[in-house]
Amino acid sequence: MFDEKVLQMLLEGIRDTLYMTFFSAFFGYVLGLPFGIALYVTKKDGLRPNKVIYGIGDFICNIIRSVPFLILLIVLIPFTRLVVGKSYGSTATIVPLVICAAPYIARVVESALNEVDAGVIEMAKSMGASIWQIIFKVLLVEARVSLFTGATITTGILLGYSAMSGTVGGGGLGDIAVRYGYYRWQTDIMVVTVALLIIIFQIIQNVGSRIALRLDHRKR
Amino acid sequence: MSEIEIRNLTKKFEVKGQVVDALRGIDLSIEKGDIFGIIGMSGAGKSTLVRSINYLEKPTEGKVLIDGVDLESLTEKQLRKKRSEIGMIFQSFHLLEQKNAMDNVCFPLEIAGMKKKQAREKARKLLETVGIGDKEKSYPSQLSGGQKQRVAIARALATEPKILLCDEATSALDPQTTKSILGLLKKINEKYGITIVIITHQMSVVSQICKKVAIIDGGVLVEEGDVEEIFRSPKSDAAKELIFEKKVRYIKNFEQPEDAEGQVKEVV
Ligand SMILES: Nc1ncnc2c1ncn2[C@@H]1O[C@H](COP(=O)(O)OP(=O)(O)OP(=O)(O)O)[C@@H](O)[C@H]1O
Ligand SMILES: [Mg+2]
Repeated sequence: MFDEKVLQMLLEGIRDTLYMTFFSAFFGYVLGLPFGIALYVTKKDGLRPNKVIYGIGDFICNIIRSVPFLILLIVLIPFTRLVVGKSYGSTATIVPLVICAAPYIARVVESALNEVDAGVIEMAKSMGASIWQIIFKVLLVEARVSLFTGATITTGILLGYSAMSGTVGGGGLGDIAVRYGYYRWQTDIMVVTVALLIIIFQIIQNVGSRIALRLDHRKR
Repeated sequence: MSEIEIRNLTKKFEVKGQVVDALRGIDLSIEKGDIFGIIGMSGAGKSTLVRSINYLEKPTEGKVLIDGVDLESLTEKQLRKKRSEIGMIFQSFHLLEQKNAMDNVCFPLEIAGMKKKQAREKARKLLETVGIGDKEKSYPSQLSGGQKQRVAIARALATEPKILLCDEATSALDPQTTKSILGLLKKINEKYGITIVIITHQMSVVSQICKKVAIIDGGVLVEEGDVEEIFRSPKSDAAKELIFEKKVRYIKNFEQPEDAEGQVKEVV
């Protein structure tokens, strides 16, 4: 159906898309996980309530999350250039993706931790656990299923956003879909890229749910 | 010097600007090796009292002394150390759902920094002591209520505490299981000489296992003494109600049907 050049391009598209999705998810968690934990710890009735820290974190989170991704992408161009040296291409796209994902991840983490039974935390305290021990040995362990489910959903969203960034030269499948489908009216290529995106999404979702299920010992 | 000394303990909670007196001027001494019951109606302040003993709840006024050490005088780190010397079990067990029985028992040892292998050996012995040596690989979801409480007891004993606090530890269990758990607690008390504080609203629990009992009502300690004596001649209305399971005060004063529970529910 397609010649070698197009196939090559699609393969590279898949590679770039996966690269953007997973790297932004990874760095998103590097920032978002501690951020989410900090929100959980400092909230009212938290382990170390702190109105100021929670207030600031909460505010930053809401601000970034309410800016549409495309706007964020453009606003962040100077910053992106500073970090990776250029403002287009897959690597450059990871920067706004991470900035966009981190506060979202923080919320996902915060709500996953909120689900942990307060009684279990009380138990840990009664045994003399420190705050760090409660975080690492109780919260993250007991919430791991929700955390993992959250990570799966986040990765799916990042896949979609990475495709969106294709419209401004982000690379990957989204870029191909826009270039061929929108500018050149090569509908077949566009259909294939969209199909590929759907397949990748399904795989991420399926693998994620399966691992989450396997991690869960609550019901058998 | 008693093992646990509670002096003039007062605890106030503020909920939406309203102050709730959960405990008022409690004085209590619990001797080493005792099995001490604290009984009261729902909302009387039992949980608040037992949580003050390991300072999960800081008193508004008054003191808690463990082996003569005022908990107020401890730094945060010292307090955590102290807490690890006081075991605690709960009505709803509070097991880690994602860890099996063995790892649950290892948890306090891990917290205390014990090596994994050593901790597992110890946990295995403890699970045997509490009668569920065959369940070490089971997750809480695969255990019955009684078995879960046994895991929780093994876990509470892991750090070799001198005191074991039990907050309604048998309230979620049927009478038969309650009996066996109480039997286990008694055995532990005899075997290790641990002081056990049992919080309950069931007189039957007290009569089965406690030597001494304190009755609290509306945040106040109304009666205290040997279980037998209090059973024979309860003095306070609250004690009579708990023993005869009848609303004495309602009968005495029906113009004003006071309901100990009703008062509390409003606050909650
Ligand atoms: N964290 C809290 N904030 C506000 N009020 C509280 C808090 N904890 C307890 N109280 C109040 O203190 C009183 C005593 O509560 P506590 O839990 O000690 O009762 P209890 O005797 O253990 O009751 P139960 O048998 O129902 O467990 C109640 O009026 C309760 O509403
Ligand atoms: Mg209670």
